Amino acid sequence: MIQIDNVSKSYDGKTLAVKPMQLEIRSGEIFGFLGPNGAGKTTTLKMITGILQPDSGRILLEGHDIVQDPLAAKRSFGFVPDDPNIFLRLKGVEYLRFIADIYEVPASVREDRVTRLADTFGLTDVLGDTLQSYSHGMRQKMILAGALLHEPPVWILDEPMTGLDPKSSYELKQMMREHADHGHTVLFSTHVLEVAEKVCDRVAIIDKGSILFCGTIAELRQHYSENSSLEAMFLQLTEGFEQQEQQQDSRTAAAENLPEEHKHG
Amino acid sequence: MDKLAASLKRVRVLTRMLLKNTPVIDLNSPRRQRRLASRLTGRPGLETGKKPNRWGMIILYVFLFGYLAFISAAMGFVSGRALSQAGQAQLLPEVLTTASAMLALVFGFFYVISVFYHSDDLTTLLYLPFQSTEIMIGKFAVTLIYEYVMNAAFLLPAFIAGGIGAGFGVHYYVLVLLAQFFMPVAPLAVMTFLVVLLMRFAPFAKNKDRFNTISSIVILVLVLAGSMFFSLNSQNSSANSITGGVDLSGLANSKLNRALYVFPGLPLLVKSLAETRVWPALGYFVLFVLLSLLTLAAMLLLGQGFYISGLTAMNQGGRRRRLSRSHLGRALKPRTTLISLMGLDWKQTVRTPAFLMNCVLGTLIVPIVFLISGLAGLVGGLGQSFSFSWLAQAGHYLAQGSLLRDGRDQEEAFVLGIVIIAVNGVLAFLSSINGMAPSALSREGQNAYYMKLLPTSYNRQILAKWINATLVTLLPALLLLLAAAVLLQLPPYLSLYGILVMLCWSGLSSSAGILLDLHRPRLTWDNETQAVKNNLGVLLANLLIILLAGIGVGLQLLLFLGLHLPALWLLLAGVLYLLLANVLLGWLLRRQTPRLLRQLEF
Repeated sequence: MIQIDNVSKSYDGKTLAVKPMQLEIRSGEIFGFLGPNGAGKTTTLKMITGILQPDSGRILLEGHDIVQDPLAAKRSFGFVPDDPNIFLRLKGVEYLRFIADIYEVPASVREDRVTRLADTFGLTDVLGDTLQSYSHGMRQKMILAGALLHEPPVWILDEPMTGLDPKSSYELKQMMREHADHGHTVLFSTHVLEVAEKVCDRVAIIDKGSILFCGTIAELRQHYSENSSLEAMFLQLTEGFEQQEQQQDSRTAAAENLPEEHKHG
Repeated sequence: MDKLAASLKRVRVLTRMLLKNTPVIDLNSPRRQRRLASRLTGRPGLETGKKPNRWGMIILYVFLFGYLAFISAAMGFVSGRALSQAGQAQLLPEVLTTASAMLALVFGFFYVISVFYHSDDLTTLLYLPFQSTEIMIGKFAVTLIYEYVMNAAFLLPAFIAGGIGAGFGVHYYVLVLLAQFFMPVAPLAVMTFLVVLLMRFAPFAKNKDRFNTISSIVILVLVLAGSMFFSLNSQNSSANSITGGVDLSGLANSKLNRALYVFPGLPLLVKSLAETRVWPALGYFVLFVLLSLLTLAAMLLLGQGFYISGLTAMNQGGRRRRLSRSHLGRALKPRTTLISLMGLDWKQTVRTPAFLMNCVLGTLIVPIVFLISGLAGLVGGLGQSFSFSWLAQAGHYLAQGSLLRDGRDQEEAFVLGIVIIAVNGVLAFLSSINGMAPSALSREGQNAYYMKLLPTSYNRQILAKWINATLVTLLPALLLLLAAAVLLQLPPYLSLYGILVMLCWSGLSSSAGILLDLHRPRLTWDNETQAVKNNLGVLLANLLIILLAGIGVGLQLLLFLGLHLPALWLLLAGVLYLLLANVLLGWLLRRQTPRLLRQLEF
C-alpha cells in the first residue's frame, strides 16, 4: 500500500511541480498514473521512491515513511525509472548480482529467480554481455528484472512499457495482474491510454501538478459520455483544466494591472 | 556546376554541425551546458553543483595555449639560432616539417578513429541525405581543424621564432603562415586512408572503451618513456649542447627525415621554406599545395567505399555469449553489501577509459614518475653513477642513528630525524595524488540518483568509495615503501612507521577528496572526462592535504630542530597527529554525508 498525504514539491522554491496531493494506492490493485508530458508524474514517483524530498506532507510505503524510515521503505518496493541507461558498463549478470546483494536475496533462491526472470524477458543469452551492448528495450527489461528480483510487495514503474517488444509487454502486464491478485500493489505511469484502460483497476489523471481525476475507468465514464474513449475523456479533462488555468492566470494578471485603489476597492 | 555548389554547401553545413557536436574547446556557459544536457537527456536541468564559468574556462585555455606556445617558441628560437651559427639554418624547416608530419600521423590516428568511428552522430548521418564522399570530407575537415589547433600551439610558434633565430627573410614567414593550412593535409589524408582500410577488414577499434583505454595507456607509456629519456639524458648532457640535450642536426640527418618522402609534397615545402630566393620558394610552395590536394582527392576516392561499408559492419551486433549454468551460479554468489558496493564502484571506474586514466592509472603512475625524476636528480646532484650498493650504504648509515638521542649529539641521529620528517612529507605528497576520491560522486553523473534508491545507508555507500580510493592511493606508495625497505635495508621500525603514515595519509586524502566532492559535485556532464577534469576537486583536495602536511611536518620540525627532542618523539608525534586528523575528518565525513546526499536533487 502507498499512502500519499498532502505531499507537494517545488523547484527552486518557485515552480510548484506537484501541488498538495492526497492519494491512497491500495494493496491488491494496479494503479495507473496518467498525464501529459511535464504533468508531474515522474516528480511524484521520485518523491515516493525517495529520490526527491517532498516540501510538505508524508509518504508511506507498506506503512514505512520514506523520509523517516527510508531503508525499510526502500526495501518494500522495486522501481523502474523512465530512463534505463544506468550501470551500462556492468554485465547483465553483474547487475543482477549487485541488486541481489544489496537487497539480500538468499543464495538458495537467487539462481532460480534470475533464470526465471531472464527467461520471461528473453535475457538469457545476454546475461554475460555489458548493458552498453543492449538495445534500449533490452536495457529496460534488465532494469525491470532487477526491480523484481527481490520480490518486493510494491512495484513502482515509470513508463515501463516504453521500448518493450509485444511479448515482454504482454508478460509484464500478466505479471502486474498476478502481483496485484496476490494482494500486492502496482503503481505505474504511462502515456499509453489503452494500456491503462486494459490493465488498471484505478487511474489518476494528473496535469500541472494537480490530480484532476482519481477513480476507476467506469467512474470516469460516468462523468463524461458513456461511449467516449479514454483518449477523448483524457483530452477533455486536461484541456478543460488548461483553459481554466489560463482564465485564472489572465484574471490574476488583470487584477495585478489594476490601480492600487481598485485592488482594495 | 550547380550540383557541385549544392554538394559543397551540404559539406559546409555538415562540418559545422559535426564541429558543434564535438567542439575542439567547449566554451558553453554552465547554464547553456545544462540546457544542452537537459535537451539531450530530456531531464530538467536542475542545479546539481557549481561549475566553472565561461570566462574562467577562456582564461584557463588562453593560459595553457600561451604556455605551450611559449615553450615551443623558446625551443624554436634556440634551435634556429644554434643552427644558423653552425651554418645549417636550412635544417630548421626540415626538422619542423618532419615534426609536423609525425604529429599529424600520431594524433591523426586517434582523431580519425574518434571522429570517423566513435562519434555519436554516425547513426544519424547514415540515413541523412549525404553522399559518402560528403560525410568523409566533413569528417576529414573536423580532424583537420583539430590538427590546426594543435599545430598552432606546438609548431607555429617554433616555426616563427625559429625563423627569427635563424634570420630568415620575410617570404619565409608568409609561406610558414600559409603552410599551416596545408601542412597536415597529406599526412592526415594518408592516415585516414590507412585507418579506413584497416577498419574495413580488421575493425580493431570497434570497442570504443577498449580502444580508448589501450590508446591512453600507450600514450601514457610513451610520455613516461620520454620523461625518463629526457631525465636521464639531461644528467649526461653537456652544457654546450645546442638545444638542451637534443642534437637537431643529428635528428635532421637521421633516417627520420626520410619519412617526409612518404607524404607527397612535404619535401617541396621544406625546399620552399629553406629557399632564400622568393620566386623559386613560391614555385615549390605552389607545387606542394597542389600535391597535398591531389593526395587528399586520391584518399577520398579510394577510401569512401571502404568507410561506409566498414562503418556498417562495425555497427552490426556482435556475438552473444550465453552463460553456462555453473558459470551463472558462480557469478551470482552472495557478497556483503559493502563488498558489492565496492565492486560496483570499482568496475564502473576501471571500465570507463576516462576514469581509469585519471582516477586509477594517474594515481598509480604519477608517484613512479616523481620517484624516477627524483632519483635521477639525486644521482645527478651527487655526481655519482647509480648503484644498489650505494643505496645499501645509505640504509646502513640510517640504521646507526639512535631513536633516543638528540640530533645535536649524533650525526646519524640527526640524519635519521630528517629522514623521518621527509618520509612524512613525501608520503603526504604521494597521497595527495588521489584521483578517485575527489570524483567519487561526480563520476556517477546524473545516475547518482540510484544511490537514493538503494536500501543501504548513505554512509555505507560512501564508505565503499572511500575504501576504493584509499586502496588505489595506498598501492603505489606501499610498493615504493617496499622497494625502499628492501633496497635501503631500512630498520623494521622505520618501515612500520612508513606504512602507518601512508595508511593515515591515504585515508585522510580520501576523506578530504570525498568531502569536497560531496559539497560541490559535478553531476551534469557531456562526457566522462568532464566529470574528473572539469571540477577543481582534485586541486582543492591536493591543497588541503598539502596544508595538513604542512602542519604535520611543521610540528615534527619544531620538535626536532626547535625543542631538540630525540627522533622517537618525531615518530610518535607524526603518527598521533595523523590518527587524530583521520578521526576528525572521518567524523566530519560521516556526519555530512547523509545530509549532503539527501539534499541532492535529480
